[in-house]
Amino acid sequence: MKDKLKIFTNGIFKENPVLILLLGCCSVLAISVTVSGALGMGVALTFVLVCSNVVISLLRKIIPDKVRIPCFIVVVATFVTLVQMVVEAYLPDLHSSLGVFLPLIVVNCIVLGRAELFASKHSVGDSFLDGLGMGIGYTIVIVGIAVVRELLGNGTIFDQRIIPEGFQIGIISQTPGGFMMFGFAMALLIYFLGKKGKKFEPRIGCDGKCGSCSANCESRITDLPKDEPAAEVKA
Amino acid sequence: MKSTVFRDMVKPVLVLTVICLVAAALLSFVNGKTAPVIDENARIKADATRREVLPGANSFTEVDCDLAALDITGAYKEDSGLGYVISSAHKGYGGDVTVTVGISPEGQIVGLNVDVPAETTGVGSKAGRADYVARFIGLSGDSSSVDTISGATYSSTAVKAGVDAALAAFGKIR
Amino acid sequence: MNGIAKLLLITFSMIFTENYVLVQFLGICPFLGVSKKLDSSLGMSGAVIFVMTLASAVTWLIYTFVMVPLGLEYLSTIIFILVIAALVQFVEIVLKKYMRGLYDALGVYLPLITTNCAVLAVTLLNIENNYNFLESVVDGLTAGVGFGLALIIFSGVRKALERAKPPKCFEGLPITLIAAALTSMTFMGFVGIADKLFG
Repeated sequence: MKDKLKIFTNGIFKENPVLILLLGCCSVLAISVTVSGALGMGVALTFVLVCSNVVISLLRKIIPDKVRIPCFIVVVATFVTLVQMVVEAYLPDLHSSLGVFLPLIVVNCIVLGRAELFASKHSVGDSFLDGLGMGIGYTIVIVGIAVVRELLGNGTIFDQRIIPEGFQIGIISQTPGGFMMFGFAMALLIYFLGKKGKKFEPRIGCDGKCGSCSANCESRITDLPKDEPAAEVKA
Repeated sequence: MKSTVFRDMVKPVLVLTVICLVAAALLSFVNGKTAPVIDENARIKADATRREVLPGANSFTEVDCDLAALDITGAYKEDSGLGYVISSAHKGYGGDVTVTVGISPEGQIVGLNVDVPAETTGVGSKAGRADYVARFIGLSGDSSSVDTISGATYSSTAVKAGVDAALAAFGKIR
Repeated sequence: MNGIAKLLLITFSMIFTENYVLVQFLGICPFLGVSKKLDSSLGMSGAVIFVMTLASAVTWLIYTFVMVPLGLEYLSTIIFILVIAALVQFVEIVLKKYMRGLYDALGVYLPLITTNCAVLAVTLLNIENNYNFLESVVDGLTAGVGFGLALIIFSGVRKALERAKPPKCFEGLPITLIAAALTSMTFMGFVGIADKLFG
């Protein structure tokens, strides 16, 4: 039981996908303008993550190693498209505020990364918990940043005015504010970890050599069978 | 030997194909459910916008005009002769600014709806504010008497361009 | 707006006012990842420009001539990502075989591109914006150039940053993100130029 709990909380704290693993930062920066959008994005990502983790874990014995990446991509893309359709039909406002970042969940490295690193090696139950934990970890960070950005940048929370009009700092809800708030969030984390005597070790990139999240997935999705790319082309 | 061929060549392709087929089937099923809802939403929204810019309007008929040449995305005539509703999209900051203009039979602007892209809250959104939009009401001919907004020049230029395009299209179709 | 003016506007906005990295937050990960050195920035930019242009052209053709006639528009996300994945592999093989020099320069960056969200985004946005074939290709090309510009400028900024001594908790990535914020602020100034040019 304790092990299960550990799998679940792993994504929320120890291996928080956004702040520690530094995955999927594009959508965190872009969508954290409003709290409602951030919450929607968090739920959408969590849904995709849980579903794809479960399905990939179910299929892990069937999928041949050679074509696993295309298979993962198809599974993830299917769930993303599913979410896209449902959100567009029943939550049109959320659909317009997420814009292109909703379909871009497909290339969000949290999803592909967990498929490769966790779901393809663990049981269905564990994969479910891992997906849920990672999704919640992502949601907490994006909503947290969004609260600060919407409050300071637009003076509102959930579109309810809190700071009177004219006192907001517009730039915080624009692009530079996104980078800045993300930087501050990370600095804050490092500060508190430092106080506790722990060292901050962002597992950025391929063993920390390059902080590219695409590099991150790919270096582990890794050794794509270089001499036999035919299978992928057929996809 | 034969089993190696199967394991190395046939199985990967087979598995991938099956996954793709299942995915496609699932999605086409869901699409069948959601597509009508999405269309209905779009129709209701467009209809509501058209009614809003032409007070008292009931139903509309689409008018044929040279859409692409004037950057017009849609032109409608009110069935009881209250006027026309013409919408047009122009590039603003962060995406297309869609302007829907209600024009009386005499060529006066009676209503205006501005849809500024949502991604860049703050920048350009002033161009969609009610006080700016109100300045266009009552105009005819072109929008040269309304200034752009500093701080949202790019988007307010797009609004003006949209209004001008709609008025020009009105001149052609009336 | 007529053809050439629209192409110019796409070019200007993709490189400056709507720069994928610094304004629209697309492709942040490679931006933070490979911008440490100038030569890796150049290599990554080259690969991205190449793939984005090609992907824009191919996905537009597939969308217009295959998916629309078959009524499969709703599958665009899934088909585009597979097309991009296949394309990247294909480009890698072709370069390896026929253009060894280019392969040596771009080769290592190519596999990283499949999961670069900027590439998928450009193909999806081409369709969403109703661009025609030429506009799509120009959009892909200039979005790639904008990505490259951001990467190259930022690699210079990071070089200067190495000599800076920020507070302890800002060392490393946090201060890099703050520097990215300042760099993106400079790009906001281009909006005014766009006003004068196309207003």
